[in-house]
Amino acid sequence: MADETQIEEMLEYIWMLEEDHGKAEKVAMDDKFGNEVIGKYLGEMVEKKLINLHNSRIVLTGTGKNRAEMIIRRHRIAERLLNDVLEMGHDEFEHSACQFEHFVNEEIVASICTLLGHPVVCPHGKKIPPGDCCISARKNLKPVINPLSEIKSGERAKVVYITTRSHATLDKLSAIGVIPGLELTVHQKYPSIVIQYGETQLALDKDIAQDIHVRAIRS
Amino acid sequence: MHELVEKGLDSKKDEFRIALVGNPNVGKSVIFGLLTGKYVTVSNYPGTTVEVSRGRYVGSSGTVEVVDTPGANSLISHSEDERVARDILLKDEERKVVQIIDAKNIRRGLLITAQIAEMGLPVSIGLNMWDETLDRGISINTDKLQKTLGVPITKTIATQNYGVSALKSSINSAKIPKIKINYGGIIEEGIKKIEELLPDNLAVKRRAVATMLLSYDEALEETIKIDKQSLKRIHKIRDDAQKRFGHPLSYLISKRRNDYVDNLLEGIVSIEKEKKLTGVVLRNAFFFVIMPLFSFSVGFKVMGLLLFAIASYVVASEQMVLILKIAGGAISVGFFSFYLFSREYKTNRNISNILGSLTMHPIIAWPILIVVLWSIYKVVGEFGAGECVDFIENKIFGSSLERSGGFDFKVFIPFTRIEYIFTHVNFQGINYYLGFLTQKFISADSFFFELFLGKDAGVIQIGVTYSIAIILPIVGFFFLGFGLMEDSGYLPRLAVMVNRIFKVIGLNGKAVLPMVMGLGCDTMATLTTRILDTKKERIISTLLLALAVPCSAQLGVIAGILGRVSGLHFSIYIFVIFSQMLLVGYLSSKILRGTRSDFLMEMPPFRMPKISNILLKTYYRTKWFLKEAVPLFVLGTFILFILTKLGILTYIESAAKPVVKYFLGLPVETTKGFILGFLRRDYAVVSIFKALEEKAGGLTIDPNQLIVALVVITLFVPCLANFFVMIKERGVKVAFLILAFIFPFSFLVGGVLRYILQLISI
Repeated sequence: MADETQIEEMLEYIWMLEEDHGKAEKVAMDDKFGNEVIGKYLGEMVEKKLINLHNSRIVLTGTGKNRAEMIIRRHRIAERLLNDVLEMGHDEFEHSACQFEHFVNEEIVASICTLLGHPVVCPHGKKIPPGDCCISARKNLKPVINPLSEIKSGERAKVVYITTRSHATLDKLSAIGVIPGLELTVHQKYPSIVIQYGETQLALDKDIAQDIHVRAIRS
Repeated sequence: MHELVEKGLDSKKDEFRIALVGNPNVGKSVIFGLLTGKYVTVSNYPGTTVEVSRGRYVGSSGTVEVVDTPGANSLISHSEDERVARDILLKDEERKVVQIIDAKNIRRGLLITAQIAEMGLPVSIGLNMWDETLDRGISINTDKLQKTLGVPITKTIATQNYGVSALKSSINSAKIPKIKINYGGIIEEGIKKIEELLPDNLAVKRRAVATMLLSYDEALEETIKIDKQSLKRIHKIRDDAQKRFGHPLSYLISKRRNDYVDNLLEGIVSIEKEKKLTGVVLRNAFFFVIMPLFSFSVGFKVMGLLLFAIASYVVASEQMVLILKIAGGAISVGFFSFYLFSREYKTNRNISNILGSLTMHPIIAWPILIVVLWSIYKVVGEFGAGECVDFIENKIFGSSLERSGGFDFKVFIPFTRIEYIFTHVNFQGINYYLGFLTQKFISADSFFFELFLGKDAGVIQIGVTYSIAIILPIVGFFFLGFGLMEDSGYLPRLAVMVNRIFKVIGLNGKAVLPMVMGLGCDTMATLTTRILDTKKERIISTLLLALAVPCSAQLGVIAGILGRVSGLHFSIYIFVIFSQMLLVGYLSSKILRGTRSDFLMEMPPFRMPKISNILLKTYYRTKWFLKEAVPLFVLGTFILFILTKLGILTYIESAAKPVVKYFLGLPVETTKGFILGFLRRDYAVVSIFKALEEKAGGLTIDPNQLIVALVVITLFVPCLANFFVMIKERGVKVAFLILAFIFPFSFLVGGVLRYILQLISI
């Protein structure tokens, strides 16, 4: 494994340890990568000013943290792409995302991110660190594509695309008129999501609503 | 299999047939009733009609047979009921189609018109619910639409019988709609290729069948007969076409139709801003009088029920209870009013719309639900199962050997103690007169007297009397309440509320319809499971209906008995039944293969129910129920009589002793109740209760014994009629497997409950 890739993997893991446990212990790193690798690379990473060592704890430096976030971001954006758009199964996308994170550059990630509507969580429900594109999208208040499940109740939205894996659900949705271009109002969100369009009120699962991607209409 | 339910009519003499089709809940059944004079169940939610009904009327050119079909949003089948509708159109007997469209949702109706046009069938369209459409400020240029489509269009308001005769006479001029949709190069090519492979004897145009086959409609492949080789080639054409797209073909096809209909409606439908509003007086009365009063009673009642459930632990003084209840009412008024004034008062929404929202509001809907259930309990359990049953059983039927003593004919004013007695009716009971007459010929000890009028198991004295005295009032009142829930639109809103809970047991919110229906009659409800989308869901709901949903007759009897024990025991009973339902549902959702479908359900508008329809519906349903139950009651009594006479009962009792006496801790006399349970559980409840009562002598029955007995009999095997329907709907194997599970399981739960009750010594 190339040095850079290995370092990226390790940074990524340290970041995730901090995310899950609040701190990264060296022991955990040993378990994951093995003593040898750790011995070889940790020194190098300290030299590159990516991490600091405090006894058994590993702490990311500012630079290290930035780099780790970028990798995590690439990984989780890739997961979203493979899962939502290419409809890959869990095992497949997990593996592909691991490879993906090492060869795409920031520009490609930004355009995928925009395409997906600046997702905030990965398919496992973990946070995706926001990139520049997400921040500027928020600042410019551009219409953003969101899953229907994230629209607040009372707001209006227009369906942009539907990415459900189930043919039957897709057929049913289109048979009752839920297709791209439809303008709807979110009537309520709990206990189930209810949308209103025309004179039709439709109750649906969160699972379906997550697959209906809409653009909020601000009046 | 649907031949079983289609009423066989001799069709040869008929001039032609028409099929009523349309989206769900647009009023097809109402129009069917008006056309043919035959009643079919009408409600305000999608999926009321699950069977095909046939009727006829005499038109200008001879007898016309009308077929009512289950509603469908698409002629590509997703569930069993949608398939039924489609398959009827594919038969060559149907020559004309009457499509009913909910005018305010015309767009969705025309999606079906497009598919009928593709089939090449002549259509006449009824734009129903014209009044609601006007109220909502929607205007439709019907002349222009008629010209564009080239088919007759009639405005109707079916519930007021407006426009139905015009619709009837328009059927003669039905035409094939002028709709031609181009699905784009690749799909069109696929359609053409498939058309060449289809057999010649199709009743509809090949293009329609080809489109459906391209949409992966595999149920269709069974309906039309295609040889294996052609089918293989068709699949290849379909799969090749699919490979060229990222989206499923069915979705692309239906998207094209949507786009086409949107274009077509341009300039035909327009929405005016002015909607018809609720009158000022009514509106203010709603906000300032009705809702505060209602919300106060909701809070008052919910608090009261809460105190009732914990009453044996917290002994509060009467004043304290009253203060707490009033506080509950006040909190509820505050909350409701805050919500209504901040959210709804200034908007121009209709009251029915507001009610529609309230009944599925995340918080407010729950107390409403509790009060709805409580009122049903009050009416069915206390009034129906208590007073009405008492009256009919003791006064109308009476006993064959004793005078009932007659009754007072009186009126009383509710909530007061004032009553006016008009006259004393000196009627001693039907059974008394029967017994009196019979004794003129034979003695009261003879075999035949005992067979028919005997005190223990006389077919008339016990069988007929119980079935009518108990079932009629309870079931009647339940269906009355159920009809109100259906027709107002409250029932489907429950689906929104319970969706999350139902997902735990492998179902989705839609299954609330058969489940609540099951509280009326499990047999009817088992038929209604057809509206569920997957086989797995249908099996789970059939199982849960058979296991844990007591029907109204049973529930009424149980409620009557539970009224005698403390609130705590009442709560234990409800908790045990619910937890078993959740447990069994959860486990079966894990064990059974197959998938759960996603929850996707249309909410019908909240409406003022039509009382005449509810009464009519209650009449038909109660009649249905009696027809099914009375013979079983009589049969059960007869079997019991034979068993007693031949002394077999004693054998069975001693054989069942280990289970009934040692495991459940019940007196052996209850065994005959369990035997009756194989036929009808409500009858069993009565029998067990009587046995416990007799055993206790003048003392009160041990509440623990009562609860154990009630739990076992509630979970006990479904009634015979339900079992037959289970076989018909789910197949012999599934039905027997369900039975084989329920029988030991009900005893197991009862036994475990007994030991737990002993341990915690309540």
